[in-house]
Amino acid sequence: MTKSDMKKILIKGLLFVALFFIVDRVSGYVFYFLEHKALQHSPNGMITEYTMEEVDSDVIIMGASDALHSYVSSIIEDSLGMSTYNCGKDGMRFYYQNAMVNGILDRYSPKLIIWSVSPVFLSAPSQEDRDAISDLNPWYRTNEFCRNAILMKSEFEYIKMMSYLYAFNSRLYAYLYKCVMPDYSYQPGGYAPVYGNLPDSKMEVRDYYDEDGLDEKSSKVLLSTLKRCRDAGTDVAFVLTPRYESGEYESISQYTELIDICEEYDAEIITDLFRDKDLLKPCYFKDAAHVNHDGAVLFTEKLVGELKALF
Amino acid sequence: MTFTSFNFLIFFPVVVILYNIVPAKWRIWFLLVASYFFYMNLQPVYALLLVAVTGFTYFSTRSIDMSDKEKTKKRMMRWGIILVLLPLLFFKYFAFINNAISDALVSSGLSLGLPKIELLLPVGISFYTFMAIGYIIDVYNEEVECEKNIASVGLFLSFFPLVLSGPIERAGNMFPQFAKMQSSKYSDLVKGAKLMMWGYFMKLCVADRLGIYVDAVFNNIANHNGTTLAFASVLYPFQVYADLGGYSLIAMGVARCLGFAVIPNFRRPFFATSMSEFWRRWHMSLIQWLTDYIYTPLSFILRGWKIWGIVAALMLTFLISGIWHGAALTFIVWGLVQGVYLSIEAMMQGKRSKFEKKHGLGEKWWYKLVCCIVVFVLFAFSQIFGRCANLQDASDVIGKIFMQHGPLFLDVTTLGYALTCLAILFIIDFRDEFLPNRFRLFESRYIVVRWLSYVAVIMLILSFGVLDSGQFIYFQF
Repeated sequence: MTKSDMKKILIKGLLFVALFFIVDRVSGYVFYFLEHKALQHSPNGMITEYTMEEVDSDVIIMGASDALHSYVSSIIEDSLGMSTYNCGKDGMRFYYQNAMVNGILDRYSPKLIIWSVSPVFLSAPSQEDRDAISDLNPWYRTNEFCRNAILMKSEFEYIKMMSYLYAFNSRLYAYLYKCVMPDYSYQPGGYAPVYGNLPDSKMEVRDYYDEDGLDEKSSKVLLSTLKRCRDAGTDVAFVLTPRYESGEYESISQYTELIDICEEYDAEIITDLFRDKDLLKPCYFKDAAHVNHDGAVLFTEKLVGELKALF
Repeated sequence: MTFTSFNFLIFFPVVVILYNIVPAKWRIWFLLVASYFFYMNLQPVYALLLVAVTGFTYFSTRSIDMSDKEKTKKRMMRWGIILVLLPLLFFKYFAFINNAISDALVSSGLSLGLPKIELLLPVGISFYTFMAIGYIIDVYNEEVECEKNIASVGLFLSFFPLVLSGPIERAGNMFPQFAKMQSSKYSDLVKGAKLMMWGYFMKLCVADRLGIYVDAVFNNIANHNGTTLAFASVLYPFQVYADLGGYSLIAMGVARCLGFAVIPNFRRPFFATSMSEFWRRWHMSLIQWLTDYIYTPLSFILRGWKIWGIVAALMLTFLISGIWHGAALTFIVWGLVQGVYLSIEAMMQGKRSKFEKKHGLGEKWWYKLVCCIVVFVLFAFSQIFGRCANLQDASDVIGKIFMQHGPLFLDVTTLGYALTCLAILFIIDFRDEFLPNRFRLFESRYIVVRWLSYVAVIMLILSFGVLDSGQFIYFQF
């Protein structure tokens, strides 16, 4: 390669980087604008954005799809007399949920957080779980908890996150769609019912011992979040949400650690609905991991009874 | 490390810079070390296999070259091919053959308890094995000169742009370039970067986006109706094209940045108007390899059978192609279906030509469109066997497509991104096919157009690409 070639590459390369930098920044502003437009038009369909920026309810339901489809916000609201919002989101696990809770605490202190969990809540995150954290990308620059979660994805994530286009990857159509079409799959309060039920079938036996073990980092992160909740005067109730399955879980490390953490920080953990005999019927389940609307109503009514006794 | 990993975006520029700094006589060794580093980053232990195949190839070709007797040459060629093939046969087909024998014994009431060995398939083994065999045969046929420098042979088989998924290169193309080891020119770097950019677009924006939908459907066949399965079956060929085509463009671009010209692998296959033309445009390096080393010798041997000799050669060639793709009955059926298509076409070629001539159809756009659609549908049908895990799944899919219609499963945003990017790819391919010198973007005379095109493609990759995705489909082969 000649010297003039090298000079040409250097000059053109720098110019190209400068051009891309400008385009990237402008795109970032456009994405932020679209995000706010979409949020105004369809708050329920923009769960992450709504949770991070707008929710102000007394009771917050946090979790993954099991939370979203199992906790009927209106029943809790009517029974406890407190405004309730279901912030559950499909496929989002512990680190996402933790960032959401901290994002809420940055803005205000809810009275109660109902945190839907499974016995393996504190397991090591899978690659899919890490990938799902991308939902937090828009808050990388503004929220410490989101940033910490995002940086777990890979060792080079901090370089990738320099680009706004990368941060808003796969969001354009979602924002445009939400700007045009309101999301009808949600009820007021963020609850999203699912319908249909399992055929009469034998209950699946799940071997919890065969799964990934306790993730110590998760338990440390949870401890600091619970401390923050305690300092903010926010009560936390973990709830083992019912699943149509059986299997021994009481002595797995993830579960015993969760119990210990709850004891340490005076957080409640409601476990008896997990294997409630009235609920564990195929007619109440859409699939093994999710109750249907009828199941959600029955489960929420039972849960409210327990919550009233506790708080 | 793969082409889509962030590590590669660090590794690659470092290699290009160092390659141009290193003195010319050391470049071959530098690229050899870089290639092994790249390969070992994926599967360290299996680099030993690559070394072994390189050793077998080198010594067999040297023996062929040094021998004067035809008989010895032939024997050395045969031994070379057998030794090079052994790792591929063992790693790729042992479990398949073992299970087939075990199942046959069990079904006949016998059980010998054959040992089960579950091994991870060494990445790229099918590709570098074929390259090695091609080189051995070429040396035997005196089509290329035997390479005396073992580093050249080592680099030929492990060259990092090609080692994982091809294109299946030829010694005749690569060794003269290795001998020169020229430094990269400015034009090579620009051309290479453009190829890579478009390859990344095809892979990340088209293949991986389509893959989300196709996988969601094909991984859950029982829960989807025929309409959805038909739609996913239509999308799958586009996914494979964008996946391997994208990979090949990245490979070509990487090689070009280092000053090497690598053979192309795809040439807008979905504009083919016959199956034979399709196979001259799809995975060209593999098909050229199969043509040169299997089909042509076979059809020569069977020339006495006339048209049936061609049919037999086609069937056998595509059977081998199927087996090359994977050790499963689905791939064997896939290969046979291709063989049947091509055989029927070969037998009807004369009648078709007469019919087209009689009605003046050859230049009619609508006739070409119909032919393209027919070829696509036939190929998409055969790809059902390539996509399904077993024959039962494939027959379920085909049965449902014809018998069980219903509402289409729609994942609006995924399909929105995928179909937008597919439309862009189609428009570019259409332009290249029918208007090759018009509406240039990357090659425009105007710098503004060129640079805006580069920025637009990078924007598309960053905002529409699947950036958390895993591997290329052809890594499994």
